[in-house]
Amino acid sequence: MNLKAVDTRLLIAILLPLLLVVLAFALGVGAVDIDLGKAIRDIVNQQTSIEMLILHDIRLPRALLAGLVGGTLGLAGAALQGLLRNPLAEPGIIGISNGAALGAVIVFYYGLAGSAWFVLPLGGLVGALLAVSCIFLLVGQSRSIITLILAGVAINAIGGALIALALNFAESPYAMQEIVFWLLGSVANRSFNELYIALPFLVLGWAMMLYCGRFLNALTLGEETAKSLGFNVVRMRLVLILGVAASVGAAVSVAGNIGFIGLVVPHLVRPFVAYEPRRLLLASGLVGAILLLIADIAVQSLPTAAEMKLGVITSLVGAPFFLLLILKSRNTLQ
Amino acid sequence: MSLLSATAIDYSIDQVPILKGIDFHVDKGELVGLIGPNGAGKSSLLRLLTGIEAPDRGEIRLQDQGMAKISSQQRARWLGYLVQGAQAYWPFSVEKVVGLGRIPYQKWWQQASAEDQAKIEAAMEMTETLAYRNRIVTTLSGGEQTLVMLARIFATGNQLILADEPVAALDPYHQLHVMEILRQHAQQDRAAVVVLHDLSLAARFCDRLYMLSHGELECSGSVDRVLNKENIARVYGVDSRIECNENSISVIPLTRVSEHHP
Amino acid sequence: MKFYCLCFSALMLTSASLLAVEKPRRIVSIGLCTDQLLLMLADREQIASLSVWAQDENMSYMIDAVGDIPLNRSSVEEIIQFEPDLVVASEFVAWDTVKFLRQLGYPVKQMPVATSVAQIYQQLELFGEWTGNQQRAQATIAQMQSRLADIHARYAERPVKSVIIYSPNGFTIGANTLEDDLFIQAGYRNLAAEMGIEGFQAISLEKLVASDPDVLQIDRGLSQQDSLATAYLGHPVLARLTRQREYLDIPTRLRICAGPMIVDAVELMAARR
Repeated sequence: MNLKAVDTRLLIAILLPLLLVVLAFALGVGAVDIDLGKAIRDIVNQQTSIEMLILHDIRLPRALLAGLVGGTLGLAGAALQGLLRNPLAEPGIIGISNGAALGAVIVFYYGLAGSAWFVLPLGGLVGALLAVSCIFLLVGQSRSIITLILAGVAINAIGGALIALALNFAESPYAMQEIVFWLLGSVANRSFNELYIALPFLVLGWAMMLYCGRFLNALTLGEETAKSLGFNVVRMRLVLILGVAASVGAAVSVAGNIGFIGLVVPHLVRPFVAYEPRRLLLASGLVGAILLLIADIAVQSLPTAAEMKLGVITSLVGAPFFLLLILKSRNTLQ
Repeated sequence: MSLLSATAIDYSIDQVPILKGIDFHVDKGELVGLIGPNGAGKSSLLRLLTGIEAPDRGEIRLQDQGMAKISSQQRARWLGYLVQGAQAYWPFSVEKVVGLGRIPYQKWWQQASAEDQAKIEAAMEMTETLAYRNRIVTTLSGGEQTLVMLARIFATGNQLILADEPVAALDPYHQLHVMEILRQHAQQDRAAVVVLHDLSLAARFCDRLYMLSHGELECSGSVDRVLNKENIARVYGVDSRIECNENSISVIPLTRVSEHHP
Repeated sequence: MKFYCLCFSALMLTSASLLAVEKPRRIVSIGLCTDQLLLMLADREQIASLSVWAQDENMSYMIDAVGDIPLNRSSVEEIIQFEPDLVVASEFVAWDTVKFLRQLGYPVKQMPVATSVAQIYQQLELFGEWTGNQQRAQATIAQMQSRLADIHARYAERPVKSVIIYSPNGFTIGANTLEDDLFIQAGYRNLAAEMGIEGFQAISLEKLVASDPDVLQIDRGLSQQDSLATAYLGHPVLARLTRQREYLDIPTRLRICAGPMIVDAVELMAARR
């Protein structure tokens, strides 16, 4: 299989403008038809008007968050698949997202989120790390792909149950029905407040994951060779996991658990980066952002009575993809 | 001063003793062979020599510095480690795999420089792998893959190569090719340490041999000194015939010595 | 002659006692709004139990009057322990309990949901009949009417303003609701009703902003940051939207139940015009 790989600079040169175009599209979509031209003019002239409020205060943070969360999930999926050398790994499937949601739920519904700006995303981070620890405890030394997925199934089940439990005992009478948000995810009605508290963790997490790019490349020759090339394998693994936990933790704490982006995106992108884990990272981030923005546009355009949760769309696309992956690699999944 | 030396090495894994009282050294210009039966501890010793594991007792010195004091990056530039059965997980192109050898010289955000590219090309030429630089490494034969892995080490420009059974599953053509490359590398102020099962190859290409058995050094020295019928019978448990020709020495195992279990 | 006087007195006494029995003596309320009506219209001795909502700070107008009246969680076991001779509930509240109680033979009266002030007057009359407090009911109605007329008069010169309500989970309140009628009474136009919304419906934040109301009504008492539903009310765009310096913040307890307390709500609203 001789792959015609695309040069990294060319890839960025295509994906980045595409992202901006999709972002612009997302800003034009919403419950109300507004005069975008006027809205933009008002923003530039710092004039408060209804159009400006809708574009700047409602649509802009929502679209930006969709992009950031999608990018995070794509990047984290690529990082996990590279580290674990497992084509089925992604934050949702192996239970990290549910762990993050649990951490966020405990912080949010029990009155801790208000104490400082970083407490909510930190709760997501801690929850994610807890999930990771449980995964590694369950998997032990096994390199089997199936074992990891099974561990993920277990962690997801426990995580979901604990989330429901936490919501049940929460003070607010609304808590229980909000489980839909936490398990399916949404960026509706998110403001710049949510964006700002998540952003530092997101950026830190991306930096940590990107830092591990070369290590992931070297890992293709095995851990011992990677060590002989100068990598402290234990430390790099820790940095990567922390990066995943920080960024996914923050993303889930403000947008809930949006599934399957981390699984689908790296597979779509991999042929275009010649299967190189390092190049896959950034490209998956960009494609993940684009895809989630498109999903959010779809969610706002569909004529449903109540706006659909983002996770419904990503699951409708992602779950069949997951099944296809399993069918395709049935022989190698031992 | 030796390139790499080990003194009084003790090593165990999970309380199981693997190596006991090993002394070892390799000098510039030498191709040194590590031989011995299965489970003798050859691979473990090699791993200790690469510095990726530390011994329980004893000292390893690289370029007359304690191994523990050398930074991992510096070590990566000096020592090249060819693991047993080296294979790539992701289907990289040959050129990409060889390019991995330049990692010890790059920062995490950098791409391959012109100098990197030149070294990569030279390495592929040295191993005669230029012809399939764009092929996917997982589609190559075992012998071709080993050559690619060697090219990766050459791209780093290591002074000392440590290879764990590099020719174990190769056909005779590639066995000879790989050993010749290692031999060539060992000249000109460089060196190589190779773990081998094939005693004939060891006899033919190595300058010195270390024979290990049950984690202890049975004997070491020149090929003549180490490879004789008594040593082979004692350590391997086989009766053998040694034939010397003009340009080769053959060690032919004949029968198993029934009382001895190596 | 004596015999006839005896029979007549006996007849009088029996009818008097029959009439006296008509006034229920052990009334149980299983909902917030019937709690309020009981506390306002009935004699304290008539009340056997109120629902736990009567103790809710946000929702119960008559909370100070509750005292040590036993509270119930609208469960059948609790209620039958009080041996009620009348059970009252609002129409859509705890209907499982209502059904079960009726099967067991207890008299249950359901108060329909009021969607206008006029209907409140009707309900007060009805409630007075059920509990044997017709006079008190009439007095309350008269008081409400005069207060409302007074409020109309006092604030007549102020302009009519547009208003829209935003509730937890992004709900708004449209036409054919009590809230809508209160707005009208207080001299406002309900933009949700003008948009064609009937009853309680979710509205997107964009539509809310686009309606460009003069006044935005948000119940601050419910807008704590302890759930996503109430977090809706904290979206920064709402702060930027209102041209008034503050939101119109009418406490829930004044407008959630149909009864005399709505006049306080109307007064507050009208004063802010």
